[in-house]
Amino acid sequence: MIFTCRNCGGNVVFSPEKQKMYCPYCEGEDCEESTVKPTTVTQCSNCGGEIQINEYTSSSKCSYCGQHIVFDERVTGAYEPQLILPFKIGKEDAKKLMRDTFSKKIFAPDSFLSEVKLNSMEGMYVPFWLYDYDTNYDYEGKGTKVRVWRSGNTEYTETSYYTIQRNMDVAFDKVPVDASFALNDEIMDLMEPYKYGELIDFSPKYMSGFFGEIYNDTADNLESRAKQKAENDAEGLLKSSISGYTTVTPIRKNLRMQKKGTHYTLFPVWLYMYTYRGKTYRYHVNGQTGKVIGTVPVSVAKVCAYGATLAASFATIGLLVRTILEIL
Amino acid sequence: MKQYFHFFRFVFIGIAVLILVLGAVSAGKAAIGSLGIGERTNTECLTEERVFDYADKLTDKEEAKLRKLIAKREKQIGCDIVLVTLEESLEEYVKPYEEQLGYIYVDEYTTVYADNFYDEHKYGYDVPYGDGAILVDNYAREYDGLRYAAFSTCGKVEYKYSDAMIDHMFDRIFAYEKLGPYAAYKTYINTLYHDMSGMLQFTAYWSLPAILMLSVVVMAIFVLINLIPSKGKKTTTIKTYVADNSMKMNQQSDVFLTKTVTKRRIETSSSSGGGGRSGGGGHHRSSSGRSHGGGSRGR
Repeated sequence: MIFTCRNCGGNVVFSPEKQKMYCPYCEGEDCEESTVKPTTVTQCSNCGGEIQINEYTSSSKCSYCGQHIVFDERVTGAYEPQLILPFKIGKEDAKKLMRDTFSKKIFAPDSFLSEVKLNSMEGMYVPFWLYDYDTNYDYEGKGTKVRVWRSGNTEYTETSYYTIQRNMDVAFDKVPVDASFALNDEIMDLMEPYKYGELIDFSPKYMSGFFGEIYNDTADNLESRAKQKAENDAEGLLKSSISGYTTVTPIRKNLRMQKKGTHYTLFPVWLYMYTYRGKTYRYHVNGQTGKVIGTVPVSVAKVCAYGATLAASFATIGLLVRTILEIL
Repeated sequence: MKQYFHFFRFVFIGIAVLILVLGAVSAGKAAIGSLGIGERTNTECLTEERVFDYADKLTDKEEAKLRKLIAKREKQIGCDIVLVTLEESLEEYVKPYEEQLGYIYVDEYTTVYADNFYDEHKYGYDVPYGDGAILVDNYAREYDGLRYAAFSTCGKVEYKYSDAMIDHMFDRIFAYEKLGPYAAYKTYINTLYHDMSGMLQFTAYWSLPAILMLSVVVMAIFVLINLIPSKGKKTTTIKTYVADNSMKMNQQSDVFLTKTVTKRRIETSSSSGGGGRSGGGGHHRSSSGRSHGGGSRGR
């Protein structure tokens, strides 16, 4: 599926800045019409060029003609997402966020935040499964409160023992788990949270202009991570209701979880890959909130230059101050 | 490169300012001259030497640096500045002088030695037995277990130094003794200079190796801080995915069961402190009958 402009025939993409479909050729807005051509997943329906995709790619860009293509068979039927968070942050904003976040990392190589390198950033819709749970947590524990005081030469220690009982109901709404093998789970967890108030029903037009993937694994197979997240949160909530004790020892913990539903959803992420001394570093910018995740590479030359300058400067200042004070 | 200069801009500006200040201070000092102090007029002094390291506590290099500093300070304040280190009990030394000076207490031994040393060499910037001071630091312990140092003053130094100033001199010397004999004697010379000239009280003890070592430490801390990797912070909380108004506490009870009380006797310890003895400062006469000030202190 290709979105073309009714006015000029150009490739229409979704503009995060305008929150509208936009033709970069004639600058028309909401002028798209979807063109379903007999597309194969390896051939561009516009120019016939070969498209480099993998088994999970649902939208891509032809490296020959630059046309953005959404693969129909990967956004319909079993692969049709229920919800999508459209990109809210455009490429220029994502580049600015990268610069704002990493410009103070003085040991990063000079080219790391260069315009040329940052232009290689690509927006991608990452597949997520969102899980809803109803939980009940039944808990019993033993708590102690210790009070110490002195009287004369004697120290008294009073230990009071309590039985702690809690029974808590809590529902979790849309606990996210990324469904992309290529993306690091830890990094995807750090990208959270997304603002769910802006979730909307899926439409393939939002994918035009961006890369995308279908879920790489089923909701059932990936559920363990969601359950773990919900369990941890339930545990944290219960613990927050227990306070004032010196020690707490659980006697009984019974957490029941019932899955209420799953939602196949696409979340927006800007990806920046930077290769330095043979190693590839990945950076992720949350396409909705702008949160940036990634560690910067270190230039040994810059470490030496900055370190030596600082040491020399410090020594120079020390000697100058000493000399001045001694003259005085 | 742009980032480099941007990062170090304040450091470079600071160095440039310090260089300008150094130039201004040097020029100002040269203009003022040596505070109006004239040339040394004592022609009878028996020696040019000022540093007598009999206890061999200083390296040749340190002695040379102290001599250089003394020469500079003497011209600035118009006083002879003498330093003697010893490592011998003065109990026998002072006995011949008791007939003349009366009973000499142990804390006065070094003072007697200092007065005599000063007089015997006819020190004094203006005239023999004139303006100047001497520090005698004895590394040997006397029969009371203490080792004494004497700060003896003469001429205008004697008149300038009150008991409190003498105490302060010893406080400073002993404080810097922790850094070694050189630091202690440098303190003596500079404190004397500061007290006599009324100039800013500052003595720098930052040796070049110490400055360089500190620079390396600062550099290491700076590099390590900037090398700490940080992927990003977790910004979800335990409530992020809790559905609105879904949390309900069906049971929340904290039931008191019992309590126990234990007691423990607290052992108390008493301690007593001790300290060195202080010989009184102030004016006195040396064995040759000349007036000296100063005093001694043991530690």
